[in-house]
Amino acid sequence: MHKEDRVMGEELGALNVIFTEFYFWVTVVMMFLIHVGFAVYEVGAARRKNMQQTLLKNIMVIPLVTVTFFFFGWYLYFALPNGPGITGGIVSGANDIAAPWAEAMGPNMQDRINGVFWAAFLLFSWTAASIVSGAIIERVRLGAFFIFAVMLGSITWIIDAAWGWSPNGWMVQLMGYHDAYASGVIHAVAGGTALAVVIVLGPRIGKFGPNGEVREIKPHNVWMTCIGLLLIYTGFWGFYAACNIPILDVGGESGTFFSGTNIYLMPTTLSGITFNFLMSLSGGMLAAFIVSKADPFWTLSGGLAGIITASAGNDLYHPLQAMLIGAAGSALAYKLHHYVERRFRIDDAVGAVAVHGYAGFFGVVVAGFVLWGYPAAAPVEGTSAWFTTPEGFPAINPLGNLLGAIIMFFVLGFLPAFGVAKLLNRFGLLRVPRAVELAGLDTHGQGNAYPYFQSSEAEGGFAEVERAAAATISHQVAGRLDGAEPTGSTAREDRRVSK
Amino acid sequence: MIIAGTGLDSFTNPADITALYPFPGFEVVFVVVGVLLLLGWHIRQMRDENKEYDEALELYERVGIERAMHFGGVSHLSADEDIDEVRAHVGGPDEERENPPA
Repeated sequence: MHKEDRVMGEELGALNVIFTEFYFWVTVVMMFLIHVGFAVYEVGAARRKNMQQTLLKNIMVIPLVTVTFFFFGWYLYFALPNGPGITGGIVSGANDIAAPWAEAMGPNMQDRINGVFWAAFLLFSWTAASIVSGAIIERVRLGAFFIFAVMLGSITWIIDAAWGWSPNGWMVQLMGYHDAYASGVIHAVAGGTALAVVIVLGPRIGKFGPNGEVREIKPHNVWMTCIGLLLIYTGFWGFYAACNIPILDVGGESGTFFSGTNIYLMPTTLSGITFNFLMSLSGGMLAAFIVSKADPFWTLSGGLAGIITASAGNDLYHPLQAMLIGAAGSALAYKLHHYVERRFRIDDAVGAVAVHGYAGFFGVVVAGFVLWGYPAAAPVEGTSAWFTTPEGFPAINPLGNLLGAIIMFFVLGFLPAFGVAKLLNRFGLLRVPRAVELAGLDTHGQGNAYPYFQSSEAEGGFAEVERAAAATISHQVAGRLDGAEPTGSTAREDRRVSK
Repeated sequence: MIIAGTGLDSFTNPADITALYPFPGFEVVFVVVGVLLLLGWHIRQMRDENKEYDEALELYERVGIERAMHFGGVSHLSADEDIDEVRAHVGGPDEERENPPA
């Protein structure tokens, strides 16, 4: 008789299993709001002429990442916690749980949890891909973005989760890496990916003036961007619950003691993470309100940056620590975004690299210091951690978390995306043609999304800039912009004509 | 009459049941078909997108990029251009023809 058969034959055991199944199922539904929020926020941030393509780009993450996460993403999580080759080989049991042909990857009377766990992680995958989506609006080709979405959502982020977001992951066991609510595991890796893509892609036409001055391209609807961010907050709350195991015996040698745990199966409580979620959100908003001089978009983005910064340690922080760390991360994200924009002329349309990447990186590093010496996870036999607690558990430490943040942001986030972006750019498949960008991504196809609204068509004060750019290509429409050549990627159609 | 089925024909002993879906044993085939369909989808999408941009650029070359900008569509070109020819290239809802932006 299977182990689960015995459990399901006892009322309390069955109740625990079915409660856990239902608990994660509810968190998945709540997390759907993250994606709703991203869709609303990105469309709001886009100019009117690009709204429908922006929406399509975001919503197609859902089927593409879902299907590929079924095919290989879930398998990678179970197969690669050891590296492989760092603390062991490929985990052989992964085939039975998560290979796409495994019986557990479908309705099965002997398994009640695989599908809801799979869905919970999948929703994190959508989030990671959506973070990149916002940064590159209004000029990326859909086909190129779909490749980045699959790469990040079903490969790179889930590898980092196997390494640093699993009790047996080599980063946890060896380095004492701690990142309870994914400051690095989701946000830094997605921020690193977004940074790589925006560097290769280049800025939107007109974003920088001839002397490098930064021009603000305003959202077509600030209200939508703010509602989108509020929806992301709501889903983020569900995400926090999804990162916990609701009931587990954590008593060890001292006897039975049931508690909630974090993803590393170390004790925490829903009560504690609720304090910290809201306090870090508040710290982020308070700081962003001041540094952005009460800009509504950045005040709400700052709340998000606050949560993201504190997330690495929000299972254990005091609420006021969470608030202060969130405030610091939020201010840092705002300042760094504008510094990088000015200094390197990088056009991150929604500040995603800063809010997710820089804040996430910073949050992981901070957690290494603040939680120094805490047990990271129960030790796995045969692995010796760099630093241990008196009981021999891998210990959280600043070095492990600093290196972990670098692995998340640069090694798994930036580098693969930079390589793929360069490859796509080589074939002219990264960016839309300049004329299409100028006219608007919707203009030749879907048409006007607001057909009954008239406007001065300033489009964020860009009419003159764009008309001047258009004048230089009106005789050779598909060609380069003479005298006003933007930096960054060039479409295959533009190269063809300019030859 | 007892008929041949695609999987289970009884739920009497749930503790002995594993897979609930039909055609167990063919999972690898399902996966191969799914992967091929997905790859085909990506290739088709990229081809369609390239074609779409070629047509858009052809249209803009004919009517002038400046005239296509800032009007939220191409229907405003109907005053001077052959609208049917434009529509043949870009499609677009009929309402746009009836309510051209000012």
